[in-house]
Amino acid sequence: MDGFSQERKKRDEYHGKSFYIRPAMFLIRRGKVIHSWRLNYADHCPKVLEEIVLKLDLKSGGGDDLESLKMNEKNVVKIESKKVIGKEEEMLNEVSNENETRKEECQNVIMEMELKECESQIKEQIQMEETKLDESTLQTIEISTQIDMPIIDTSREIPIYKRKQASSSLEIITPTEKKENEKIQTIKAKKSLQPKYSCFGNRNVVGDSDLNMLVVLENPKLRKYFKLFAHMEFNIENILFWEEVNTHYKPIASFSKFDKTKSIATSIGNLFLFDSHSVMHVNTSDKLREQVREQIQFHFESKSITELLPSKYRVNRSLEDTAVDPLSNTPEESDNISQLSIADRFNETVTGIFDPIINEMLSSSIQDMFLRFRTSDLFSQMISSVK
Amino acid sequence: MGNIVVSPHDKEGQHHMMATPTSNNPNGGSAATAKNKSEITVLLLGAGESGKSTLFKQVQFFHGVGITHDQERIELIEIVRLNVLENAKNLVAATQHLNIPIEQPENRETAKLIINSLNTNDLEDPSWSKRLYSLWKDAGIQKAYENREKFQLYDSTEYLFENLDRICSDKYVPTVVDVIRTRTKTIGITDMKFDVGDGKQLRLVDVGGQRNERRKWIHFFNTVDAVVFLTSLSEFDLNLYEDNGYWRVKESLRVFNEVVNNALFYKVPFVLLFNKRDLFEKKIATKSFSKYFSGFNEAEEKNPVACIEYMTKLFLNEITEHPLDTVSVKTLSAIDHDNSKQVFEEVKQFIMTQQHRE
Repeated sequence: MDGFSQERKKRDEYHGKSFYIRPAMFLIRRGKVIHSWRLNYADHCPKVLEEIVLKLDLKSGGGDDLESLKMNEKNVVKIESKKVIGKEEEMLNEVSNENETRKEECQNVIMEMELKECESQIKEQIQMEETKLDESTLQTIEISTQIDMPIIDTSREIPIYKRKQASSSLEIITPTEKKENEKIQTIKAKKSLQPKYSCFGNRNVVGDSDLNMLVVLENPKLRKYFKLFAHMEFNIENILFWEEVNTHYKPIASFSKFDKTKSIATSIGNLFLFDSHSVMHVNTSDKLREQVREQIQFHFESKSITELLPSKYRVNRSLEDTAVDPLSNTPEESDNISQLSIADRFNETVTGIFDPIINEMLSSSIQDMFLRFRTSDLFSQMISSVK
Repeated sequence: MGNIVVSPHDKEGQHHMMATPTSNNPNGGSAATAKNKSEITVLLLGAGESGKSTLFKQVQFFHGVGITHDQERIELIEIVRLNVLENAKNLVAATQHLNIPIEQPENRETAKLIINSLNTNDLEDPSWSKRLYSLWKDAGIQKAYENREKFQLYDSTEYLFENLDRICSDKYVPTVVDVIRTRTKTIGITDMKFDVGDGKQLRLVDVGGQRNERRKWIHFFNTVDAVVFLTSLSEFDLNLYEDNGYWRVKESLRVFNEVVNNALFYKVPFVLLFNKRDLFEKKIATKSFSKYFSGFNEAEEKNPVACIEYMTKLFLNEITEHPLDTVSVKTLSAIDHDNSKQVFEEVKQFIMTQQHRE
């Protein structure tokens, strides 16, 4: 990738400088850094996924992403978290490679150190700090030439920071604020000890009965919260499957877009259902998988359709102008069933090929997960965002 | 993952609890780098439908969490009714698959409605109680039920059909037993924490058991302090939900072998729980156990103790790496509240003793 060339430095060049390394993470999409998280020494990791899913204006979902997921599947199998939210896979890649990013920054530290204006200060610091970087780490250190933000914090005193609400940005905590925060935390802790029970958490279930599972799933803004919750419970593949089927496959599934319909259906099938090694493999019975496989073959394999239909048809291209005819096209034949009705029949049934699995999910596992979601902090955040 | 923290005593002598911040960190949040010895992480592992979540619900219940309150069980009405519908659909489908006719014409009409249009809202109408019960008692459906090893059916089928008069009512509120007996396939990972004294907390982690769920277990392997592996005694005549041609016992043995001999668990206390003892005892009264295990003495096949001993040997033979003195074997009937409480207490003591010994 541009700007991420590598260069090795000797180990002793890193001695005593680790306190001045400020960790950073970068969201890279299509070779460009589109967002960065810059922290300070010893800060906790920011809630990266929450920020990406809920705050950043990234495109959510989409057949393109599904395609890219499919194409990159082999590469990402080793890093499960990378594929947990397909839309943010590049970000997750960055998260999983956080150490490497830090290594890059180590190298930048060295580069900056070479600047004369820092030199005297650094010499002094080297004497004071004895922290050493691991040798194996140093052997793989990379250099970044595009990161133009200052990486070295030369000030001796490291202030106490807090993260701005719902953001990874930081602000310094003053002693007064610290005391106030402690007071608030004490009040919260006392409240939490009041015996108000919930089946799955400490609060009563949010009484907004209108927000049932289907409402949440069908609203893209609300779904983000549910998706994030699913990720936290390690079962996001189910929501992504629902999403791909309902927001990308069903809207376009028609005879007039035969090629695209087939392509997306096949991709969904391969990614979520038929490849047991896929990290997106959903939990369902082999019977239902087989049912869907048969449906895909039936609808998209021209041979199957030809065999099923009473005889061969030729679809009028003027009616289905962009369609690729999946049926045999012997020119002279004309049948009792009209050409249009074949397309209609196809359109009626093709949208529902994944429904047996979707219905099974909605009636058991997702329903159960939704009950836990209703008592989670994310649900409260979602309600606040709606209000 | 939303953790539930249960502390055993408050001023009123009642349990209270609080949810820790939502975190997807298997290490439990901020102390991710160093293993916190004040927290004991116990994994409930096992193949699908071995009863992990049932035991998890029982533990929640006897720690005063959640389902003790009507208001919270109301949330589960939909799931109980979905269980009824799912069971009814599976039975009707089985009659077709096994070529067993539903005898009564009115029951055949009910079966058609079940397959085509019946939904959970319809079950608020008490008339469905009679119709579904009549279908359940139909000779064809009963014959299919007798052959339930040939298709997938929930263990709670009989219980749910026998309680239709309560379930099919607009005033229905699930009882604790209803909730415990309701089958919900666990996907992903959930957990809860509770105090076990000496300033220690026990973190119980429940996981999905089907094949594709097992790849998620690894998220917790490096933080585990004890493993409770569940296997169902009553699955000796059943095949997998996710692979209908594969024998459940074989799968369970395979998973047990992989888990118990995993290098990460060498020094970890390991409990093997043979669950569903109640169902098992009923089942061997009518079905041949020795038919499925060629090495088992046929003359003993109606003796549950002998059968369980044989199963125990089968599982213990899988242990090649794990020190046997840190393995404990128990039987359990997870739907029985008292039994679950007693067994879980024993498991807890075993784990604490092993921890102390370490």
